[in-house]
Amino acid sequence: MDYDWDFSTVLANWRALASGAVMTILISLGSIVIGSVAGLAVGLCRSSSRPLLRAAAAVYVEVLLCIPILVLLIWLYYCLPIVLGVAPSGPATAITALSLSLSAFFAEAVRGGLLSVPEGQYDAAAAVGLSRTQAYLHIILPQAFRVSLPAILTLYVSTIKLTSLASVIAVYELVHTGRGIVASTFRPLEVFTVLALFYVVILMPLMLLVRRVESLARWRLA
Amino acid sequence: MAILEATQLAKGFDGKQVLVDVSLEVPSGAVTVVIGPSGAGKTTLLRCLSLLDSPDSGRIVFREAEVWPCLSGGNTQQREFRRRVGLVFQHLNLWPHLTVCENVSLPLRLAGSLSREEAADRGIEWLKRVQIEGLGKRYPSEISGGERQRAAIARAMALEPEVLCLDEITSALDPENVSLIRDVINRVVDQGVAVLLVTHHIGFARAVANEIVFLDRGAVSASGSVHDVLDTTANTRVREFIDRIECRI
Repeated sequence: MDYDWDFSTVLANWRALASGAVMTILISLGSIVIGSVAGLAVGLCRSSSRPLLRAAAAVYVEVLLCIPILVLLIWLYYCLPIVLGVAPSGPATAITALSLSLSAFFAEAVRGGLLSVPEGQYDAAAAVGLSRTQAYLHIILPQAFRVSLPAILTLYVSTIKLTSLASVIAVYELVHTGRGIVASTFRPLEVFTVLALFYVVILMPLMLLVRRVESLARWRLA
Repeated sequence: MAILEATQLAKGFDGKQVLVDVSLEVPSGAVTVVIGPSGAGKTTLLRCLSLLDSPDSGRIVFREAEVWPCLSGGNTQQREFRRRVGLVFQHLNLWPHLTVCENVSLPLRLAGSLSREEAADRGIEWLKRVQIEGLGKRYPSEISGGERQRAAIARAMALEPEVLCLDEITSALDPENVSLIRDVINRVVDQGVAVLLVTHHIGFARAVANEIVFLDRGAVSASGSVHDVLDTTANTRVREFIDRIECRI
C-alpha cells in the first residue's frame, strides 16, 4: 500500500504530546494508588467475618463491576454537579471513575488471593498466639498478594490504557491531545502510531518489573 | 499432677457430634498419647484443648485455672493461653513465604515481644536443638518432610509452652526421622513439658508414651499405662484396633 509516512508533524507537536503523556501518567498513578488502597479495604471487608461488612462490600463490588467505565465517567462528570452541587475537574473525575472501577476489580483479586491461603495458615498463626491483625499483616496478606499479583498487574495495565476514556470529558491526556494534533495535521496514522508506541513504552517496563519480582520469590505456596 | 485437664468436652460440626464426652488429664513432664481410628475426634480434641476450636460444652482447666468456658473470643488472655499450649499440626502449616528461621522467630517477635535480633538468635538456638541449624535460610518448600516436622516443632517449642500438642507428626516419616523426632520429644519432656501426642503409629506410641488414651467415636473408651491399654486391655474395640494396625504394619 502506498502511503507517504511523515512523522515530522508529530515531532513538531512533541510539547503537546509530552503534556498529554504527563496527564496520562498522573491520572494513572492517582487511580492506581486510590483504587488499590480502596480495593484492599473492600477486599478485606468482602472476606470479613462480619456479615454486614461483607454484604456492604459485596454490593459495592457488584454494582461497580456492572457499570461500564465510560458510563461511570460521563455520569460523574455530568450528573454529579446536578446531584451534589459540586463540579470536579476533568482529571479529578477521571481519577475518581477509574479508582472506583479499579477498586472493585482489585477487591475481587484480593478476595481470590485470601481464599487461596489455606485455613491452616490462619490456624498456625492463632496457635502461636498472634492476633488477627498480626496474622493478616505477616502471614495471610503476603501469601494472598503473591497469588493476586498477576491479576493486579493486569488491572494496572488495564487502568493505564483506560485513561484514554478521559478524552470524552475533554481531559487533555494522550489520546485527546493526539486527536487535537490529528485535527490540525490530518496525520492520524502517524499520530496514533506514536501514541501506541508510547503506551508500549510505559507499560512494558511495568510488566517486566512485576514478572521479575514474581520470579524472584523463592518460596512456593503451601 | 495434671497441668491441663478436660472434663466432659463435647464438640460438633454441622449437626455431627465429633467429641461426645471426653475427659482427660495431661500431666507435666510426661507423654500422653491419644490413639484411635480415623474420625474418632483426635484432631478436634487437640484443637479444642488449644482453644483453636471452641468446645460446645465441658470444661478445660490449665494450671488449676479454668480457661474454658472462662476465656472466650480472640482476647489477649486467649492468645496468652495458646502461647502456653503449643500445637504442631498434622500438615505442619509452616508459613511458606518465610524462611525456616523466620518461621521460628516471627512468633517470638510478635507474640513473645522479643527484638528482631533476639528472636533470630532464639530461633537459631531452637533449630540447633532439633538439628536443622544449617537450614535456617531455606524456605519450607526447599527442605525435606522430616526437616519440616522438626522446624514445626521448633516453632511451637520456641515460645516455651508448658504443654505441647503434636498431631500425627510421624505419619509421613521414615524410621530415621521418626527416631529423631522421638529424641526431640524426650528432650522436651525432660524439660518438664507436658506432651499430648496423637498418632496412628502404635510402635511410636509404645516408645514414647507414659499414658495412652484410646478415643473412639468421640469418647474415651480406654485409658491407662501403655501396658494396660496396648497389651492387656479387655476392651474388644481397642484390641480390634490394635490388631488391625499391627497386622497392617
